[in-house]
Amino acid sequence: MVGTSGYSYNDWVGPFYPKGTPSEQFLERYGEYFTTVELNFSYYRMPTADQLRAMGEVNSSLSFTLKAHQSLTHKIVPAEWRSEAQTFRRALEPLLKANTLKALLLQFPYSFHYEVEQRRYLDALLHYWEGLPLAVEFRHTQWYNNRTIEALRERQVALVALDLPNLTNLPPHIDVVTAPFAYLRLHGRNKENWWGSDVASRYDYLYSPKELLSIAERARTLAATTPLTLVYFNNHRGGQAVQNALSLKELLDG
Amino acid sequence: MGSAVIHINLPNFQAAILPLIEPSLHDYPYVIAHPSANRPIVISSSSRAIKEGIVAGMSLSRAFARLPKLKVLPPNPHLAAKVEHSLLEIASHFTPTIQNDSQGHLYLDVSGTSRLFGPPIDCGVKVRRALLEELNLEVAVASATNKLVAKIATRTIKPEGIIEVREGEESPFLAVQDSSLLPGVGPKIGALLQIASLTTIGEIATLSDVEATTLLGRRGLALKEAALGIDPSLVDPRSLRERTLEERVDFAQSALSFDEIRGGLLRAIEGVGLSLRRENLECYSVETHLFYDDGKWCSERINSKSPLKGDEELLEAAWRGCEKILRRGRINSIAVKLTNLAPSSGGDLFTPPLKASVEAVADSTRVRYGGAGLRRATTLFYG
Repeated sequence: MVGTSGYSYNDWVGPFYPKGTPSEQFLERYGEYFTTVELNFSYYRMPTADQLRAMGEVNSSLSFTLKAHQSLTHKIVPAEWRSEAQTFRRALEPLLKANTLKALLLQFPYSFHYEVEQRRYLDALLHYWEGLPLAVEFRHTQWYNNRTIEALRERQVALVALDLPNLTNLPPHIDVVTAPFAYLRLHGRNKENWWGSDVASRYDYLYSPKELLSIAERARTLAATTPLTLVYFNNHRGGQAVQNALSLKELLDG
Repeated sequence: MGSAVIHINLPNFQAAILPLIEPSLHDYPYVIAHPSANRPIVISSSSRAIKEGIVAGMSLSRAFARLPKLKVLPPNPHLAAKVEHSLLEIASHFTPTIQNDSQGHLYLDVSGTSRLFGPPIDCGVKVRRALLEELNLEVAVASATNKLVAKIATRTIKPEGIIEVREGEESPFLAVQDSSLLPGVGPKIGALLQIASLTTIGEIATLSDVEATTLLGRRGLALKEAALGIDPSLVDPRSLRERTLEERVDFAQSALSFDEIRGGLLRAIEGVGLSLRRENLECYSVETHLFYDDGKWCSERINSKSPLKGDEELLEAAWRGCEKILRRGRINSIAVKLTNLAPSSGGDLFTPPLKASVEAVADSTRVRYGGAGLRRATTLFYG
């Protein structure tokens, strides 16, 4: 399944959404082209069950992946994370009932190191959300070791496969299936703007046809080893993610 | 761009290939073993058996104690040869320079193939996909700048998957991996590392030379070098089965007596045996060549069903060959050639630990002071 990381971008009006499309109609339009979307708003504000139910009703054939709220990945308060996790979990109910939640993405920042305290926290969170289709994305290379891979395999939690610029200390290219599904996130390869720029510039990148061919190979191989493979483009600036996602879909379907 | 190596690793090779001819095995825990052997041991375990804690090297009785329903199957050398041939054939679509270490281990030199197949990691993706599509085999694939780092990388992700260790990032990548993934770390070194609380490769890499040798003996420096990701060896396209190790000894004065000949033979064994063990190999055939004073020469090859590694077992095989071709006459030279090489399967359960450690100490002394630094007294018969 191919989609994009987020769908509600004003700068997609024109390149993707027809001019004049109101933001309330973005998801409906999106669903005309894709069967899955990674929801990122849930990282910035805690989602509610009503919100997600309404989104699910827009298009019943659309499935979702949710990015966990920042209070669970970037701004963790030891005394509070359990209640945040519980709130987040409750919001998922409508999607779980409709069987349209494909994964719950835990994207940890570069500052989340492979240290005892962080490992304990991660273990506790994975345990707390046991039973949900969880996927973990690390940005620090320390996590890419045999112990992490083993631990994720044991817990049936997906290790997110990444495509990033080829820069020192960024995670390596690693595709390892550790869960009943695979998750591939494509962030673009904008080396120049990766560090020290705003989010939009960081993800300002358009994959070339040649690069898409190699991504298609990765996706096909993952798909051959697991029942479900989710691929999301996060190079969202100016609708580039949509352009690339449509091309990849064509490559994979063709 | 520097060198680029892809390592293909099909773990538990002998067990992993059996479902290709018997798909129903996927659902069973099974092992490969010779149940009729005197003291049968597990040669290779299926993934289901591994999950139950049954691993290669374990005695079959212990394996059964863990899992009474365990299925035991004999090795299938015909299938193994067929799969190895197919692996090699598929890999050869991507590069002509392939080192086939057998038992599901191949190294591909993909330096300079990027115009055809893209960056090394893209080439690795294509190789992995080809193996999956054409052979239905899930393998671990890694791309790195040398064989050692690529090998550790496939061990990190095995049994299957793909990983890239980028140029310049070898040290940070290795630093966080378990020390048990480092080639050369077996149960004995592993126990020493555990005592010293050295759990990661990075911790071995930060030892001083003195600390490394004090703790790990003469192998300490080699292990430290490996922990730093240093491996100057090239991808050797000759398969191990094609490669040979050889040592020749020329007598200062033609030898006539048994003692002289045996002494010369042992000296040749000491040299070639050291080379064998330094490369972490073992062999299945020993050839003995005798060169006579009258210009004639003869040779004999002894094949062994079990792997040969230590000097004593090599000497025994070589001497058996020697006895078959020995005739009256003076001998100018003796050569010993080891063939049918294979990666070392690790320690032998039945080799007394003391004997194995004496050999290891002798090897490290010879590495340090040269072959003449330590000799068996028997070799003194050779002028």
